[in-house]
Parts: sequence; C-alpha cells; structure tokens
Amino acid sequence: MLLVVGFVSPVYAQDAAGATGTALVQWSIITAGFALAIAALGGALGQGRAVASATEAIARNPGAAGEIRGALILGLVLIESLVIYVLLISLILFFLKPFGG
Amino acid sequence: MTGPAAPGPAILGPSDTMSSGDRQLRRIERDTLIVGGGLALGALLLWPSSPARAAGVAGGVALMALSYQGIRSGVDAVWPRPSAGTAAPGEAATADSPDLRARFGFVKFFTRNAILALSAYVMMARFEFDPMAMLAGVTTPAIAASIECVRIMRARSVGSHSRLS
Repeated sequence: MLLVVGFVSPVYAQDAAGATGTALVQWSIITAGFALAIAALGGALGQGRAVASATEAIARNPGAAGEIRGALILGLVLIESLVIYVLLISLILFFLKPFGG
Repeated sequence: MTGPAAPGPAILGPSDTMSSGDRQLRRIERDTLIVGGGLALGALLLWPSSPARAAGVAGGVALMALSYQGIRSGVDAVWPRPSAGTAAPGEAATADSPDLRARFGFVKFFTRNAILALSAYVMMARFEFDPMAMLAGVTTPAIAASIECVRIMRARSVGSHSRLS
C-alpha cells in the first residue's frame, strides 16, 4: 500500500504543478492588463498636469514660451517612457509567456 | 599689407532662431542617438551570435523616437516654434502650409499610443527582438536627460566659480 502511494504521489504532484503553472499564467496575464491600465492612468494624469502647468506658465509669461516648450516636451517624453516600459512588460507577459503556458 | 578683416553682415543660421529649450532638446536627441547606438554596438560586440539583442536595443530607441515625434508634433501644433511661421488668415491649406502641418501633428499626437503598441507587438512577437534589450533601448532618453542635467550642473558650477574668482 505504501509502495503504491509512493508511486502515485508524483502523478498528483505533476497535476498540482500543472495547475499551479496554469494559474500563474492566468494571474500574470490579469496582472499585465491591470498594470497597463494603471500605468496609462498615471501617465495620463501626469501628462495632463504637465500640459496644464505649461499652458498656465506660457499664458503668464509668453516670452518664456520657447524654454517652457522644451521642458514640456522633455517631461512628456519621460512620462511616456514609463508607460512604454509597462507596455513592453505587458507584451512580454501576453505573448512571450515567461511563466509557461 | 591688409588690416584686420572688417566684420561682415551677420549670417543667421537655423540654430540662431532656436530658443534655448529647442537647443536643449536637440542636444538630448543627439545624446539619445549616441547612447542608443553605443548600447546596440555593445550588445553586438558582447553577443555576436544573437543579433536580436542589438536589434532589440535599436527597436527600443525607435519606439522612443516614435513617441517623441508624436509628442513633439502635438506640442508644435498647439504652440508653433518661432521659426515655423503661421498661416495667414484665409490662406488655403496647401501641401506644406502650417495649417496642414498642425493637422498632421494632432493626428500623430493622438494616434501615437496605437502606433507604439502595434510597433512594439510587431518587434517583439513577430521579429522576436530581445525584450530586455528593448527595455534597455527605451531607457536611452532617460540616460540622455541625465547627461544633459550633468552638463547643466557643470555649466552652473563653472559659472559660479568664475563669478567668485
């Protein structure tokens, strides 16, 4: 009886490992979707604040529009780069599936 | 014997009409390309058997270039550069008129995320570029901005030293 249980247990272990792997893939895909949504939300809020501040600054001091434009473009690009990081990581999780599946 | 040359009329190049913000952006663009090229070359030298890594770095830089072009077009459409010129009232939109450029700028600005997602998908899933190398490529503008910060701090430090002495 003990011998039978000893032979059978690896089969159950493989089933458990397979179920864990599938769950991991499912959770990684769900996490990727939420991460992209949160990153887009944060990026949009940040970019909106940057544009609002730049608009106000140019309205107050039109002579400094050139400098403000440069700083605005740089700020928007750096905010966007964070969103692109998350986009790439989400694409890795969606299509390359590093956790199997 | 000739004397010192008389100062001729000042010739204004494109860089003379640029604001300091535009000049700073140009420096950051140049530094990004240099850093991205250096990283891609380094990846090619370190892993000559897997060109997907060097291609991944180049792909990441290309993604950031797409994003930058979209953002810059949108900002230029709202606040045109001083050298860009403006459309006269009642002027029809021709192929190169500022009006049409502004419209294309808005289109690029609002569709940039879709273009980015599609490009990243094609690079990663179809061309099988190395994803970590793509992340490294996306980091290059941040590195270039850091280099620019160091440059500004050094210039200020030199300026304050020269004022003190």
